[in-house]
Amino acid sequence: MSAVDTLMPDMLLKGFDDPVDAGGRAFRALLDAMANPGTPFSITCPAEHPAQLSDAAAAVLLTVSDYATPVWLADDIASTDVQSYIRFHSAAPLTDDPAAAVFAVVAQGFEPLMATRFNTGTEDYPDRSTTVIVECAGFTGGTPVQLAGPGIEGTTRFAPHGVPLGFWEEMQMNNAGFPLGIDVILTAPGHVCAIPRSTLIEVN
Amino acid sequence: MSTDTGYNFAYLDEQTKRMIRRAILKAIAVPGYQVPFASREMPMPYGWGTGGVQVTASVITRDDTLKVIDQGSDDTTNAVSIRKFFAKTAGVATTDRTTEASVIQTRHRIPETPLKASQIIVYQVPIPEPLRFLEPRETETRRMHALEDYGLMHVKLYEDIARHGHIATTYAYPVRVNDRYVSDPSPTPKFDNPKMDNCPALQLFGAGREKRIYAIPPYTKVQSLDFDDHPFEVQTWEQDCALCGADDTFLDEVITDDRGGRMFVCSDSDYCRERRDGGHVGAQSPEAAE
Amino acid sequence: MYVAVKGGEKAIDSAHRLLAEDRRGDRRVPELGTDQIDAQLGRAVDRVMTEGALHDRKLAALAIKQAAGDLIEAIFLIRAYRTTLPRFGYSEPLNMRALRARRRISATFKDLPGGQVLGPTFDYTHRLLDFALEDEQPAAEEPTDASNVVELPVDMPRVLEQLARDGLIEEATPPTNEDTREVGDITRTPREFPADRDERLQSLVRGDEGFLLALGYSTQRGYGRTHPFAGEIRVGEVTVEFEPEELGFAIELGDITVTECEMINQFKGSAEHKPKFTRGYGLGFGHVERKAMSMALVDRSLRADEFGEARDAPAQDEEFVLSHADNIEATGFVEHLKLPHYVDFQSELELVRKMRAEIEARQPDPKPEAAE
Repeated sequence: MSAVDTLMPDMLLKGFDDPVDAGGRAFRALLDAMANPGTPFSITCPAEHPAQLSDAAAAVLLTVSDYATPVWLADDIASTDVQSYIRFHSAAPLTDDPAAAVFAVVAQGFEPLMATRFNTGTEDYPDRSTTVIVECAGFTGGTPVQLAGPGIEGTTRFAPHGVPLGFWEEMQMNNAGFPLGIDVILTAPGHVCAIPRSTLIEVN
Repeated sequence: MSTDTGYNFAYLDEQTKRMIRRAILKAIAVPGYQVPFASREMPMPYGWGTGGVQVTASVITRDDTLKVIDQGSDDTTNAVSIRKFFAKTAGVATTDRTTEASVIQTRHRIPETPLKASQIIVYQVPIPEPLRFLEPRETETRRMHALEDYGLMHVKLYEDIARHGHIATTYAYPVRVNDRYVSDPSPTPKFDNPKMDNCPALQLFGAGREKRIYAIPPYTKVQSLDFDDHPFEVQTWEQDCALCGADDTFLDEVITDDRGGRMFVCSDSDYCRERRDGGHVGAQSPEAAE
Repeated sequence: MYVAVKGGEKAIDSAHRLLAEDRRGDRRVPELGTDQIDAQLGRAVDRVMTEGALHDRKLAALAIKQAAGDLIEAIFLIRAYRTTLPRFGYSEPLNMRALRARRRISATFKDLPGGQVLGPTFDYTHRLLDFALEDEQPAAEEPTDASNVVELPVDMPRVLEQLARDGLIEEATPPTNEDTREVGDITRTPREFPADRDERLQSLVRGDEGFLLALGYSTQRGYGRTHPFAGEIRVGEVTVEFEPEELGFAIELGDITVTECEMINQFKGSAEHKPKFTRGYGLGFGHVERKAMSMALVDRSLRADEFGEARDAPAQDEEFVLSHADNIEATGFVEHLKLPHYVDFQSELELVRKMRAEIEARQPDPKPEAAE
């Protein structure tokens, strides 16, 4: 936590400069990402964001969350700053229960994702599953994996670094449960990249 | 570009857009599965493209160029009406040209010009449930999709063959998306089904009255249902387009007199014009008459 | 030479101009004021508000004028406008015990506290055209307030409450799962089956009067009988209250007119459980008696599962009723058949021609001239 944050806990951070226009652009980045798994896209970000949340993760939350979507935050993210930022800009209720979350945010680090604690939807309504925002350090330089499936022409290689321990093995398990499963949006400064449940993963 | 309508950009309020955007993302994550959404009343009637309009309004940005077609043509009345709606409420650029469009909203056709990566095609869908005419109950069809139980559909197609010697479905011909969900391609002619397979563009489907959104991501396997001894085949015509001479397009039949006179022309008016601009002529084009 | 049909835009503009003229009609006739529609075509305004799901007499009158009296078109205008309005929250539940009734009848008791109050009703009018209405009367100087014509009884206990006190009718229970979730909102969540009663009632209020009338009627003719008695029908004014989050207490927004119908239906009981009558409920904006009664009949029919009744009649079929009750959905899809379907039809035409050709090829050609 930075000194500025502790000094001015009540200071409200700014969201999107123009919520209509920026929200629309940010969504298109998200749409492109979800439609092209494993390909990073740059995303329009809010003017300011709390220190514990990347600008891209803040952009995703402000774009798609609102009063109707409970948000779950991992312990190391759930600071007062982040909570008041989300509550003010998106009005999303915060939940302690990962299985009740429509969106969840997992901090960058090496804690396992524990994908099964989230909602994976039901046979009748597989869409009612959690979308998990996973913060990572960057989209290159990590252990490369090979991705295939809907949205990918042939195969693509992807090597984000700073993903949770055992992330790809968990994502393989997640894919095996298709059409149930969580959908992951990886965030790195200014960028998003999606791994929906439909993506097949080959770990070398 | 600002709009002078007193309504929000692209008509829908931001809250509604967010709800639709969430549905679209889930639809992409589960290709071919119909995501329920809280469809809004729109200022045009249900059945006239309210689903497509809501999807387009939720994805479009000021940088987009929009093309709207109905029956393959940019100039049919409902296409004109929807294009005007977006020009007015979103102030976006519009075009007739498939190649120049970043978002294409369509009713009943897929353009003949192959779609590109980064393009989005939005289909207007009346009945999104491919099993609906076999089983009218939502509670039943939802179970069938959950259990991947598509036996009823195969039985129906096979009964067609037994009775008519053909699968008697010529439009809204069911497809299987990504080897999982059986989906309705909207009432496009089956002629267009092959264009959906491994398509580089993102395909989004909006059904407003039925309150469903579904999607086919780029490069996704889309298979028209068939049988080994009765493989899927598309329509063919004995004639070529009378205006541009194309022999591989979907043709509209035009009645020219009351003595049985008729001619066939491309249903895709942009594609036909492009061919004519490129020097192609058909049997009844003005150039041929000279 | 053939030229593809062009000019869709011009055609649309011309059609709009023609419609405006057609709507106005002969200009020698004075233009109809929305205040006249509100005051003198009140039942039309009430229906448009109820099925349009928006209580605003002025806007409903405007919609009726703009729609040239086509009420479904007017309802559509109101719905499309309604959906653009900002949402501040939900009002407090109406306190129907405090309804100031201008009309109150019960078909189950001859007399009761507060009495039978006929109020403004078409009942018992002889349906004879009143040619006196052809002569227009000049406008009065002073405003008329119909509600002041009769002195209203202050104490008017509700009929079904009297039965409930003796345990003779089921309690007017809130939705069974109220403790686990908030009341549903069909404008914000997509329809799902099976639906709960709160969502069903919301759909029925918006539902087409004619459709519900026919369904209600069908239950009376044996397609899912519910043995209904009109326990109490009331028309009157009730206060709408709203509690702003920042205030912490409810404030009065104003009074609206509503019609409520409480049906007493088929009793239920068993060897162990003493029999009780059951309920069907109907409510609408303004004076919409036929609608409220039809709604109450259909509400009760849709509760078949609750009472272990067989579900085999159309009015008991929740998916069927709720999927087809909305006249805006229905009119859109029926009327969309006017849109071009050249492409689909061409596809069918191609197949039919092909199949005919195959049959002709299989059958020996009679060729009469060859036989000669």
